[in-house]
Amino acid sequence: MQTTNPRAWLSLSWIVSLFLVVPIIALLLQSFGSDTDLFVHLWNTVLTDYVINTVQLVFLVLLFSTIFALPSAWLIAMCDFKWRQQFQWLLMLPLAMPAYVIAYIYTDLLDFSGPVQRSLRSVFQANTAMGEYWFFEIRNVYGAALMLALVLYPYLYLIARTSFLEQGASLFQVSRTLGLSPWQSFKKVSLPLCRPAIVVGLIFIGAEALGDFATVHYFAVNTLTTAVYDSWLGHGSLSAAAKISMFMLLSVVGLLAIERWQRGRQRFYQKSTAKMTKFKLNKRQSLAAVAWCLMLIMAGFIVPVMILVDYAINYFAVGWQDVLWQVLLQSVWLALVAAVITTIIAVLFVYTTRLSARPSAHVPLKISMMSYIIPSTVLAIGVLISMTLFETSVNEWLVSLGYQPPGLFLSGTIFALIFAFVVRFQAVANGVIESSFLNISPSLDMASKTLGKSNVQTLFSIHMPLMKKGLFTAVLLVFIECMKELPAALLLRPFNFDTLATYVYQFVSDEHLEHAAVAAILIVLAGLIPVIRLTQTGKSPQ
Amino acid sequence: MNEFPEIALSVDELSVFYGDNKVLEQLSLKVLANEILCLLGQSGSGKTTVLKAVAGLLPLQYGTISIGEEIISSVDTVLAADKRGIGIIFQDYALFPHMTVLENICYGIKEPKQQAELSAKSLLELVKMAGYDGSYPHELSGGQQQRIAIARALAIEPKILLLDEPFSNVDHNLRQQLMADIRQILKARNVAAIFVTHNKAEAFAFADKLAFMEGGKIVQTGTAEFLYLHPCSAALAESMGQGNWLDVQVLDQRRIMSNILGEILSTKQHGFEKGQKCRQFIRFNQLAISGDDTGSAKVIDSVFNGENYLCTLTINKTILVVNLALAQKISVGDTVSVTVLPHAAILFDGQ
Repeated sequence: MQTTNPRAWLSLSWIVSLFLVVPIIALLLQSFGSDTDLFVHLWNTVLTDYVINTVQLVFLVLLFSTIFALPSAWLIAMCDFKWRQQFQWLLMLPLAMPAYVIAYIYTDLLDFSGPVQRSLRSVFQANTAMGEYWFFEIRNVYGAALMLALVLYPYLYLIARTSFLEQGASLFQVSRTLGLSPWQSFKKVSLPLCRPAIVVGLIFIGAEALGDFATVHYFAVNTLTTAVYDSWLGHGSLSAAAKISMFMLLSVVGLLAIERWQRGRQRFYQKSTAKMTKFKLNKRQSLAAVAWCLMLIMAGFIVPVMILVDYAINYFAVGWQDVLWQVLLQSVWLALVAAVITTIIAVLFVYTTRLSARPSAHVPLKISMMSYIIPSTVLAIGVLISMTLFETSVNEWLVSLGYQPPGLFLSGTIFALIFAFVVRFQAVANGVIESSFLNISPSLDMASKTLGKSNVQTLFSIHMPLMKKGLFTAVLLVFIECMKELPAALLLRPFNFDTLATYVYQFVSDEHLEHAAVAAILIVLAGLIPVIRLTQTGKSPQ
Repeated sequence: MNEFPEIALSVDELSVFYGDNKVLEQLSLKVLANEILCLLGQSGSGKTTVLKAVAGLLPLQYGTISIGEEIISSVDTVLAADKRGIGIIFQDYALFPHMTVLENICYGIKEPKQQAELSAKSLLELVKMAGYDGSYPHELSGGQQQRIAIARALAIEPKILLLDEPFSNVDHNLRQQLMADIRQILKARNVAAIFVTHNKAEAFAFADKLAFMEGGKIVQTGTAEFLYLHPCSAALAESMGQGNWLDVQVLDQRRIMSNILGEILSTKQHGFEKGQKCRQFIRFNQLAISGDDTGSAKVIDSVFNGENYLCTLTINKTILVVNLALAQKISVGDTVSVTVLPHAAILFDGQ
């Protein structure tokens, strides 16, 4: 038995992490396969337009998110104005709102027959028909990007605010004493120091936008995701779907690589404890700041919630159905199983890095961390391919032995869905578990071992009790992500099986969200839980 | 009676690398039964790594570690940390925060619960912490936590106890008492110990024998007094007590010539060749000054350090520092003469 050389843990970690990368490897293999007619056909006809749309969409989402997030983050971190404390966490509320839900709500609101245009017409006493006056159109790529940015900007806001706060005051103050104005100091010191954080946030948002299916589909904006769905669900061609998915994945990886290369040897680590004296805004500035924050919260959360509640009340009889209960229960069950598995794997990965200082011990953790930047549509295709490949070979093998082939025993089952969730949200659990472990002094491990306990005993009697809260948080966060996840669920769900998200989406695409308003509110409520948790951990210690 | 003292632990030619970085190189040491050995050295010299290797908490690249006759670590076989019966005490005490004092001490005891608690309670008395059974670690002071850590480590009846900077987080006023108590407990229980510190006062007060580490090697082992008087390296000389460096030339086995202090006598033969140019280390308390208008030195600064004065002098543009008794009245600006008090000269190669 060798405690200092924990081979068993290392091997187990490696095996599990290999399972987690199977979908990406399968995707890679499949995408190198020979061109199918469908892919060639897509390539010759619509794919160029789709690529242009996708690039446009991602670019616009990033642009809008930056416009929403950075000024807010800076205001909250650096300035003092009325209700700053409240806005600090209120600005994160839109995170709980699915983009396709607000897409539906704003379309409804801003349509020709919607309340906004109706009241405009009545104010101007105009009895005009549709198309006889100009009113901006929301169902296009700009609208889709706006909807996505409205619910995605909080990721960037959160990460940028933290980064601004962590810089502390000293560098900024040094810059001021060297003769630069506050604005110049912000531009030349604060902002560049935040760059790595901002880029992380943007890449994450970009991957989300790239993987979005529901919003763009609802707005009839054809992107690469549309092509993936059409290839698979419409034409049953995994090969074409794989090729397009691979292209999407490579573009995310490419962006990451460009950023790394451009950053070069610069390092940005800076932790300062010096507290920033916040800029005191005057009345007019304060008013502007409040208006800005309020606008984002209203648009991203309050207005949509009010409308959802209105729908729910008006259509309560239709909305509250037995089937909703069933969907809710199976969603919860599914998400819970995935969350527990993900957390157990996270404990395995992180504990392995704690037991062994070798670089190879960190590989499983690092590999699984990357999953978060893989658009979920891409991941779902990868899962489908790997399952199909596995099933085909098992079937062929059994047939060659003279048995009855079992058919599709993995894809199209809940197993595929859980597997996709675990891969997709491994990074979430890893992050939480890693920081929980970091809070436990390594000398406790050594003390426990020298007192005669094995690694497993130490894990269960020392670490687990000490990180109860972290374990709970990890399970909770993954659980909620699974409840909200749509693109992967749409592609992988078994026949006639709905999660809360696919259930709501069904009504969105049938133009009857009113009937599923209760379900949508449940998703929003579930999404609020991590937001509330973030506000608790993110509070400044005042 | 055994003619040779029993060896509790021996480390032979131990090498440990972190990646390409050699942390320990061919290090050997022996700890006798019931002996407290102090590993003294600056941070980064590899002291803590020795402890971890002995405890079985990291792999070694070369050499062996044995307890008594039994080899517990070699390149091929490493007895797991939980099978060694070596106790270890950490700088941060490493008490399990979610367990009470009693649960902490019982953690390693492999006896039925009731018996374990009885043993734990007698250990609590031993470390003068009776009555704290139900307290949680965060309710105790640093010194109290360290006492509990000692009790917990002793609970597995180790043959050897390893202590990693155990007193550095303990309040200065409590430190002397804690050190005396723990030393007494170790002696009474017949436990050998390796104790790591960078603080020479702790080393002097706690250990029987000192081993000085430099760059992953032990450069000298001996009693505190011996290392103080006959250090074999410049770093060791400096860490045992402050002093001045002088450029000198050897006249013969007992006489040395310094161009600022003149001829210096050594009470012992120093072993350097006649005519060789050396660097001599003279401690502040090996020099004396007296007011003398014809003297060659001038006092440029004087600082009270709690027990006496530290006077800074210039002689021929060279700076010297000298200890001065409280009673001796000398002021800044005075001209003085310097005498070297009789001692065994500490000389090193080169200038």
